[in-house]
Amino acid sequence: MRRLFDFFPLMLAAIFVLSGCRAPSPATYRYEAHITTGNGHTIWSGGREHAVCFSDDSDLMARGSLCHLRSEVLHAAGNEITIHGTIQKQAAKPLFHRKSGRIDGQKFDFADPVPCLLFNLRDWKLKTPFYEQGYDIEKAFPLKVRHALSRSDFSRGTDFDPRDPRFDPARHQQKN
Amino acid sequence: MYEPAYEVRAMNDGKTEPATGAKDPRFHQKIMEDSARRHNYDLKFVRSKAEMLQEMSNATASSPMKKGGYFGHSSKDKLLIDYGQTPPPAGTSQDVAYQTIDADDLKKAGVNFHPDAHFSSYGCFQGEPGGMMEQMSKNHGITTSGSRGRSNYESVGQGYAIPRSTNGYSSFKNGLPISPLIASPPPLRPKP
Repeated sequence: MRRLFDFFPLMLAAIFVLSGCRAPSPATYRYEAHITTGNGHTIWSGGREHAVCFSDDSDLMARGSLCHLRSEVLHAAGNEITIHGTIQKQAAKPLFHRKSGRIDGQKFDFADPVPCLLFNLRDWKLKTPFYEQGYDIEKAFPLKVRHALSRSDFSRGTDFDPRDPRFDPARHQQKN
Repeated sequence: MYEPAYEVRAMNDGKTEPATGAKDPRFHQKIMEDSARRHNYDLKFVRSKAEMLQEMSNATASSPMKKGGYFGHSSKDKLLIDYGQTPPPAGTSQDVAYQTIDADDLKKAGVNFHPDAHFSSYGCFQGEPGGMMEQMSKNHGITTSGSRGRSNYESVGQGYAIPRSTNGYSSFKNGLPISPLIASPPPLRPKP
């Protein structure tokens, strides 16, 4: 019994620490990418739109493919994308986009005044059927209805290659 | 049209020539050249800040600008003409030299505005108090309009000719605020 009492403060501390460390649970959010200066990734939460930056411990294939989804699909009005993951914290500094530069040798901050939530991305889904925007400006960007994503809907980047055999575009489709 | 940014965009997006399938860095310029031919307007390509200011100065020397607009990246007081050009190092913010244009650059370059001119900047934050549109309006005694908050360009070509401003557009005359002359398009998707 005496032995148990010796460990009691330690047990109490462990319970206290564990209860405080409960990780926030992942959830699904509506996602929008804006064509703007600075970070264009946003989610809707609590009736408001929030800028998000994807954390380095995100699912890299999910993050890479979402960030390289071509604008013809990504920005077409009517398309609905949801992302699944966890809001981790308010990021001190926006990530994934250039924020500072030099003008006449002097460092200049193009800081994005929109606060950014750090988001651990696990997966994303595009509701099908979806639209693809055309490029003919005389026809005011005509829309084509599509039923499935293909590798050609994604561009290549330093952190993502749509030809990677592990990448399955169908994983990111969700029938409406 | 600032060519380097569009070339990088075309290569990043993997744009190709339809006939040959070869990579086409001039994909976007060709679209604009075709549009200029069809609608009979002059299209000028520039590759630097100096070229852009020179073209604007030349074009307005004998015929002052009556209506003008800027489509592109910006901060409150600067046009960031090559912001989209240089790819950032993976995963971090970067430190690169940007070419920028501010209200004083336009004045020094001798860009000539008609007294009744209306110049609109559709870049982010340009219509904020003390921003570039207020400065230009004061410098040239003209009417200007700009965005309060960020501009979202995805509305362009999807039913709207101008980007949506998160806080609406503001206007200035002789450096003083006036009633907004531009209405911001609504969001493309309804709130969830």
